[in-house]
Amino acid sequence: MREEPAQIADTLRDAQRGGRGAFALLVEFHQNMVYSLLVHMLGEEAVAEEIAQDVFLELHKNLNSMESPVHLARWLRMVASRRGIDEVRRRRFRAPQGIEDLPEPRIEPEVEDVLLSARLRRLLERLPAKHRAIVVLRYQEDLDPGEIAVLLEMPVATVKSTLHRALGMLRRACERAGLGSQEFTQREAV
Amino acid sequence: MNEEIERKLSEALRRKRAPEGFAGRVMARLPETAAAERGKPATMPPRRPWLALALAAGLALASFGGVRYQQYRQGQEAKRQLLLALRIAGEKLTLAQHRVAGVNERRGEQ
Repeated sequence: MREEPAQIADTLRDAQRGGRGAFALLVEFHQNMVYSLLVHMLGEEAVAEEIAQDVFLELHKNLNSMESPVHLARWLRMVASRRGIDEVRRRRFRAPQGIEDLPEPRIEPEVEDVLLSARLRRLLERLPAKHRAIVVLRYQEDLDPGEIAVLLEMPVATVKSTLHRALGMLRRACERAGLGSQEFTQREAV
Repeated sequence: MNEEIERKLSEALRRKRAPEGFAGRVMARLPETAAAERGKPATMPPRRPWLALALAAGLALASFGGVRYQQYRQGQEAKRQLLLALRIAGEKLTLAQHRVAGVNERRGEQ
């Protein structure tokens, strides 16, 4: 899932010299990462796309300050996740009730993984903004707590405890929805 | 339990493909930004709206101050002329009083 920085080093240099084609390649190279971060945090594709476009326009303005492809990728993750957090907080994203109070319809034990994933993503949308960002950076981008702490400018211990709390909230919501009662507890017993 | 939910989260949060034509739409929005940047003459300093406001405010203050100073000067001049006129009138009156007193004294002696 991670990019190979060497592949885009030349493209970055060309884009910094003003090459529009090179910048388009950079967008294509990173668009899935930026868009996914936002769509997983916000749960709305149209909003995610609009903010993702804004992130790339901001990148264009700051292109000359990008020191390397690794720096570029880290910058995009940082800006996208912070924009996502801001948007969640601005809109109080459809969360009149907390995840703990959410009445969930029970799902049959034979539920397919696709449905489970979709339900997990919907449960994720009920988490507070920073919890969401941390979970998405951890499980979409496979970042460790230290890397997440740098991106979100938080202490590592806070990232770890927030992640732990978020997982607990998701687990309890899954159990209430009947998602965890069969599959999760069976595996745990093994 | 957490390991299981972590595995499920990794599956649920796989990267999604950006919508078709995403990069094209970003590039289509780019010219406005780029043109705005290019539109600035290279030698022009960056725009500072606060500076223009400060200059305008300074000019307005200076102009107002100038008018007020002019009015003050005119008032002072008028005051000076009035005092002079009063002083002259007072001196004339005193002189007239002395003369009347002198005439009266002479009549008394006769």
